[in-house]
Amino acid sequence: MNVNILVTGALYSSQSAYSALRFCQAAVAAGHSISQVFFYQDGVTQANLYSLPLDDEFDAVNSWVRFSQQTSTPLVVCVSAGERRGLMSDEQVLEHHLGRNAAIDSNGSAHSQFSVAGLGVLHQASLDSERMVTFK
Amino acid sequence: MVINRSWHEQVALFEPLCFAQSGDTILLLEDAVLAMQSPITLASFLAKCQANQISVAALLDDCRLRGIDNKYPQIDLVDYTGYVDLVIAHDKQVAW
Repeated sequence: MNVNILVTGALYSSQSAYSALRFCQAAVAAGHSISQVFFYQDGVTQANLYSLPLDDEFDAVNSWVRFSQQTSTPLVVCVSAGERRGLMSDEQVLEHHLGRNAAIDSNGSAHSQFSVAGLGVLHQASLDSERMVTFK
Repeated sequence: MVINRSWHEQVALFEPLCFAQSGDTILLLEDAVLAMQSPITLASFLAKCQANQISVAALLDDCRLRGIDNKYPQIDLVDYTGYVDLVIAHDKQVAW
């Protein structure tokens, strides 16, 4: 069965990253497919390239990246929720001329494994999927 | 339905009961499993679920992480594979 995942919980202040990732791994192991993982509201923080947890802690961002690479599951970040929270791709940084400010790194803060898109992508995936599961 | 907040937020535990229907399953996830440490609150919750033919489950991993034993035969402990099975078995999921 095709399952669409919506994640809205913030990195490290909620358990949503761990719960959602474990659910996705179990679903794939059971023979189901994850159509996409959509990060919305505070969930966009789970795409932050500059998140550097200690070595013995759960590394949510890189765990998502590994899962995506191993299973070819798309990871999608909501564009406007990301921009509100300073989570942007390289292209967005250039588009908003943030690179001109020497205090701001010209590289985007969103990991390149995550694509940035609008809510229409979530809407389409929810229409195309048989189940939708939310992690807050 | 999935509840992931502590029972201390009383609404989080009881509000879904206003919407749940016969045949639904309520899964206690993350901090929601802490309700299993409160016999009086949980007894009231389980009685309402039983009266409305609503099943109750709790995520085993979250119980273990919080050192909680299941003393309630009405609550099914499920692992993440069981969580996936619940999602497949029910058409819709609502996160509370």
